[in-house]
Amino acid sequence: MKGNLRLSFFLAVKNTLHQKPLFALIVLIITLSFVSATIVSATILGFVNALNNQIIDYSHGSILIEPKEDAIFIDDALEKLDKIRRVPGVIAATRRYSFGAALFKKDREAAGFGFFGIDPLEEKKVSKVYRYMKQGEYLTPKDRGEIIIGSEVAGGGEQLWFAEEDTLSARVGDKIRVSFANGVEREFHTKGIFNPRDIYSTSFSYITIQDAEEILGVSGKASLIAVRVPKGTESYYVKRFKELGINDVFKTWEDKLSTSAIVISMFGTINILLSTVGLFIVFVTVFVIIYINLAHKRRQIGILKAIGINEKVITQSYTIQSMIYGASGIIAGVILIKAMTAYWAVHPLNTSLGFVTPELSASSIIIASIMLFISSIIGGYIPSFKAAKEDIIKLIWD
Amino acid sequence: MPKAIVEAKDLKKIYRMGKVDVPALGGVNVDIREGEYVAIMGPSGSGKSTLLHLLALLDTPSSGRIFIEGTDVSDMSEDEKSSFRLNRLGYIFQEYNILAELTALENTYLPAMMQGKNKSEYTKLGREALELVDMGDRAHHLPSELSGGEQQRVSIARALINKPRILFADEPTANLDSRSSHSILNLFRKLNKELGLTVAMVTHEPEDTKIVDRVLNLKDGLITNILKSPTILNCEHCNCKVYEDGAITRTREGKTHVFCSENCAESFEAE
Repeated sequence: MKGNLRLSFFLAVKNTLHQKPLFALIVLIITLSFVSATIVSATILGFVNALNNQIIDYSHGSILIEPKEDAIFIDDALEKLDKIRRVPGVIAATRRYSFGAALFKKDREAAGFGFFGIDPLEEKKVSKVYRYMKQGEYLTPKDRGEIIIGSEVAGGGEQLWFAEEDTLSARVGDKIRVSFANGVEREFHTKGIFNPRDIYSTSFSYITIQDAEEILGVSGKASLIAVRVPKGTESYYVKRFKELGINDVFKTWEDKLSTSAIVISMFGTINILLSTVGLFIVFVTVFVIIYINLAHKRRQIGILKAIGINEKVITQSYTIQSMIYGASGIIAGVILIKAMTAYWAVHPLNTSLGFVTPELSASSIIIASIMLFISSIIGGYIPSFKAAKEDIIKLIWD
Repeated sequence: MPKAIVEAKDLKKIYRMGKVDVPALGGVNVDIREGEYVAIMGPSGSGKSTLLHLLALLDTPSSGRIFIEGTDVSDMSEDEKSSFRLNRLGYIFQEYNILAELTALENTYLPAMMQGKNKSEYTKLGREALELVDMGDRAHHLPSELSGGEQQRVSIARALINKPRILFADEPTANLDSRSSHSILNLFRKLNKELGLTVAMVTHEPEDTKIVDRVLNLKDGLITNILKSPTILNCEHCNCKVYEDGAITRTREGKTHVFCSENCAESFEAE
């Protein structure tokens, strides 16, 4: 048995090394098959992660604290913020006022998905919107009567959802009239237009918290408290905040997925479909390549049989050879896809849904590797088993 | 008289070509004795290669029985046949048939590896087998670096490494030049004489049979005659080779003249 396996390995290695160009070609095909099977999954995972991160980075933060069901505002917001910021590990926390508002510029009207009064300095620690000013500048604490508008509301041709005629067609310096749900109307000077290229914040508008409190006629309260904590620790901090006596409504970014949940769920379904089809194609491709390669070895199999090498050793040998092809292709594929994702981490794909960094999950690598390896084994085993069972005369002389 | 090492009884082989049955052997009875050097001859399609394949367990007869060293091998499983070929038979193909990716030494020691011998054992045996066929100095050459005659020597070394009792050779010199052919045939004779190896060889060259003990002549799937220690003569009319046993003779003026056929004899007489 040991001798048989040694002979199988010997023949497999010799055969593989003797045909270096063929070996390189087969490995290249398996490598590309591996990449094609995983790249879709990596891109979709990248999209899903990008959408998730957009919620955290540009709109909700990691944890959003809302007023209790029967309240309009969070009372003692400054005191609560202080408590939250003191919890070790909390990166930042800020309060916001949220409005129902319609925006007008001359005869044009636009309704965004969110209108907020913010503390510009604290907001910068929670939200990354300030990094994506398309025109003008971000708010400062001293600003009064200034507004910054998301590109989806401002218009200008970069909108994902809104037609240009449904936007304000605003530029920096334009006067924007805002009609609030409480009946107050105010005119603001457009200080900046931002476009982080996400599907949420581009339809938001921001004014300073001082303007917001003046419009609402309140002080030291908040409609929302946005908290930023390390990703994955949200539940832990929600528990900690509750222990501190903050008994408002806590929602993590995952609870706020709503619209993106549909997109993410759709992506998930597409991912499963494409990955399944992709892996099946890979399975067939690898099987066919190895099958065809072995079909040319019939004479060699006949010679081996004629000199007394038994069928088991022959089948084992070609199966091992296929496993060498498969393993080499998988290793090269993993290296290639890792290199590609490393590149994308530095140079994300610029898509209409924002910047996307394709990421490979360990599970998709493992599934693709297992599928490829199994197809290599089957691709080597079936033809060699069939050939080894054939008559020597047919193998050598047909 | 030495005992029979290979015996075939009423051996038939029918090939199926589409819907037609084509008989290749029509009931051959033959025995090859221990230490004998036998040539199997006959025109193309006579069934000589088929007979060799059956005797060497490369193919299965349609009916009839084969005994090798007294063992009935007719009903053996594929695994048993494989083991029999490995341990007791040697086979040499017409077209060298050594593996292109292995060196001469590696090609030679494959059967010994299959037997489960350790590396030092099979390497030593491989070298000895190559020495035996005068290929010791070419052990590490790939087939692509060897001449046809050298490749055939490697295949002979491979056939000999497990010290078989019988060596089967299917037109081993057909693809070789006359010098290489002569050398290979002499090597068979040497192995036959010095090691007592039984040799059964298919050939179509009457010249090749000069050094054999017996010639089995096949025609249309049957053995037509068996010639013992044949002497080859030249037809005095057309100059072709002819066995002494099968030659046509005419006597003129007290001298015997030899011909390959009645036609040649008649032509001679008419001159």
